[in-house]
Amino acid sequence: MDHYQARDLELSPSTIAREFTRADLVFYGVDHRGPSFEALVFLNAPEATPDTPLDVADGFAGSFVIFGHGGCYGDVGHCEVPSAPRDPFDSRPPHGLTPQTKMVEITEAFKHPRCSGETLTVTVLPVVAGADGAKQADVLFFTGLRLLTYR
Amino acid sequence: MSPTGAPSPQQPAVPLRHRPSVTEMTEAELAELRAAFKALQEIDDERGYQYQAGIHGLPLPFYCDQAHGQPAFLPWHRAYLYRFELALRATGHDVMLPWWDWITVRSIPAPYGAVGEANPLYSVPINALALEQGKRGEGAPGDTEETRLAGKPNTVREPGRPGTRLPTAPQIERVMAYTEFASFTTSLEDYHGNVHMWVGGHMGDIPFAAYDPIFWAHHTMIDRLWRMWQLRHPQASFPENVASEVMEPFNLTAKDVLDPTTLGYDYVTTSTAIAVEG
Repeated sequence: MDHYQARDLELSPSTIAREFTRADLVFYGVDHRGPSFEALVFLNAPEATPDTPLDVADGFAGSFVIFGHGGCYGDVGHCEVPSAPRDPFDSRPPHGLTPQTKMVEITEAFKHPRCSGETLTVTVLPVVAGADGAKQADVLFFTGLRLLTYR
Repeated sequence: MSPTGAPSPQQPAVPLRHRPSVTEMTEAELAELRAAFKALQEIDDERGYQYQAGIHGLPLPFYCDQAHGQPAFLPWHRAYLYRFELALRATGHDVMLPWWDWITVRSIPAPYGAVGEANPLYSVPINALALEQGKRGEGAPGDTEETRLAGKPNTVREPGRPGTRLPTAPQIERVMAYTEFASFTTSLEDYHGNVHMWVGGHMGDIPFAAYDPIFWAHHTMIDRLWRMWQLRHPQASFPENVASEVMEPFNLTAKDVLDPTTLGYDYVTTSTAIAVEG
């Protein structure tokens, strides 16, 4: 996808009260088979674009970077991550293209007044370098997202 | 920091070598570094530059797949730098890998630029097998046959393309303030990726990144930040399950490389030899 948005997420009471010392967004199952890109994360900024200033006041919360594999260079099946349960006697490392987990700490942005409501909108823009600046690209694929807070 | 390292209980402590800042190196030291890179680039077997660079990506296998987006990111690259540095030194030149402090030096360091006809720190040919395999990849969004990296026989850079950025001092300070390894390595790896994308060209692409000589100065900076973090947070634990992981193809576990002084090196800002009379 070239854009991800989760609108009006309901927050727990302690999160609404901002009773945390740290907050993270954790992205699960992030694909890294393709090109390198940066995923810009915005809170309560549904209209954010790659040109939006990367400031907390504008909703920017942080980013993660995929240093991409760039495609598949092997023979047929080389880049297929096995889906079958792992043999308990298999001591080899996991397949190199096993999806990644990415963490973005959002504490400062989440405690900013623009995020003081009872719901939260998360916008993620995957961008690559372009001739005139960052441009969105259809390079972001992930399977799960979780908001974690810590007291 | 310790002034000596003890390779093993069977060997006496020996003086550590120090990795320098590239901006603090003298002309004589830079000349020695260039000579070492040039000599390594002229070796056409597993001791040489092409083999060393290929470990990171192409030709297959991609050993670094074990290292990106994984807890082994820092130890794998520490083992990689260590082996590369030994290969450099085996050319007969007394050099250590310098670091590029992109927090304060916001451009490609001058010694890695186009100095003269053939600066071995500027651009390096990429072997035919790596390029051939690279053509099977998909390239970057919007790539054409002309712009694809696999079609370029020598490493290129596009530093500072719009939409890319170098990490800032406050960002890295926040990373250094983490007290547990998982948050530290995850965040540092993301900023490491920003630098790869900022340099651009082959550096922005895993299969070819290590062919660009600036790769080694960038990763030495990353390794230095890890060392500084280790010293700042001596109580931080390292994940046990990762400690026993073998960093392929270096035949070293993560635990083997946790303390750089056991590998014979450390980081200093400057190091000046002073003659001793008598």
